[in-house]
Amino acid sequence: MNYFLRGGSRIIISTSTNVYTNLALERFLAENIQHQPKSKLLILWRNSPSIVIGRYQNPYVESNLNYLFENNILLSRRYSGGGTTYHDEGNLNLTILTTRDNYNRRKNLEWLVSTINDSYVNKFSLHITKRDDIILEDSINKQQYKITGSASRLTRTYAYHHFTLLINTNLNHLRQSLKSNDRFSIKSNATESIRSSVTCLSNYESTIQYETLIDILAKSFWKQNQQTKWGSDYLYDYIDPQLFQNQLKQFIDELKSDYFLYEVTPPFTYTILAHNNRTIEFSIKNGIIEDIKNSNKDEYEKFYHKQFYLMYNDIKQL
Amino acid sequence: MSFIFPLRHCSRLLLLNNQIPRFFSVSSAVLQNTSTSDFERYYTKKHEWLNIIDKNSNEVRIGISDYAQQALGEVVYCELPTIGTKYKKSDSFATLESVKAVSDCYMPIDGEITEINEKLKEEASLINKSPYEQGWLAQAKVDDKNIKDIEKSLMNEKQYQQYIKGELDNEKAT
Repeated sequence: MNYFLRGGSRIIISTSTNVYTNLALERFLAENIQHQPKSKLLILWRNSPSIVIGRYQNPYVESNLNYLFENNILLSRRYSGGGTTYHDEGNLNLTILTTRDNYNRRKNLEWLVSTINDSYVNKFSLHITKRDDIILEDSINKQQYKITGSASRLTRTYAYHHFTLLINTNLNHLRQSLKSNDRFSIKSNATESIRSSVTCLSNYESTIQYETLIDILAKSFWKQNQQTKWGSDYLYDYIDPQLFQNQLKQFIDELKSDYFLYEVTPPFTYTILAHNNRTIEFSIKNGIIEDIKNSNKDEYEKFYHKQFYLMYNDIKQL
Repeated sequence: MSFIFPLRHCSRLLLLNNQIPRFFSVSSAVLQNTSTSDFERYYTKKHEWLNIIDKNSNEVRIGISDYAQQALGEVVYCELPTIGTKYKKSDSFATLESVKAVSDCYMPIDGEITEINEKLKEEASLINKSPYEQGWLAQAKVDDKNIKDIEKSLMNEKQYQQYIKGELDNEKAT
């Protein structure tokens, strides 16, 4: 680990596919590396099926939690902003970690777009929108599809920009996971995702594979960054986060906790049309039901001051 | 007792002090305190500002500068500290989400939070529209020693404007 913490430009590939471990690894590296000006750390990672919501989002608005539980899809919240993404092994995560001053989101996206466009010249064309989304233009049906999601975290000492790339993801799971039944029952100031049609690169070039793409990206990264390569054959290092459980533990515990998944959700109200046509409104703050309007005495006693995420299924049955 | 006067209001009161005889019951000491220099802003290199809003209780108001709000883009969510929390200078006391980026704000001075801007809960974009007036983030109680050090440890308006100019020149160079 000390080897990685020395700083300087580097490419690291995580061998873990656990979303909490990978998010913890990203944060640990950000906080502990001796960042050097002009250098960039590229982290590549993939997760087993998971939903990742942005720091100030509401999981009930963004995803169908029952669908996640039924299909063993993990729910997680990241430290950066932005909208909700669905991850599986067909979705590549890239993180570019720099000093605060060297943060440049557009430049990172331009690198990705030019690399892929150059490598798959006649297959498809990617371009970047004003909102810093990467779009694939389908020349046959003239549709535009989003293929990445971007988010960033900026602190005094470091900045990271991470983004996803849909290579070969299960779009059925993606759509079902992101379709919340509660979107219209919830009122909140939490950041809402902007929904877009998505597609995978493999739909346009069936030979695209994670392994070949990694090599293409690595070579292009070094070409663009002209920084010291650690040895002339060096492309990237693998890191096994299992070997660093102790260092990552505090972040993994936080990322997995009910506190971070549910309780830090910005305040919201949840409205339900109960069986006898009453509209019951729950007000939730810090994960706790602080107020209930229009409930009867039994309901009030049952739900008042309880944790919303624990009561959720009971509430839906009203 | 502490009074918080907006700048316009205070200049009218100063006038009143000159015209009305000494037996007027409003504390003239308070009116003497409300001079324009008390509303002078001081800045950090990370683009936070503070100004003293009450010299009696050493209370300051804290926010981010116009330069900072422009760099962030539209603020969509604001996480503010809990009243009563004590922070040291440079501790992160608030977090802003803007255009997919989550950024920390740092304390310009040691202090204990006394108030937060509740309006930001409904309208975080006030930080963009009015970074020095309606978009303030929090107020804090500061001890005497730190209040006296403000001019030494932070930049005044003129110094800050020069600092930003330097930053912009650097950006053009890279």
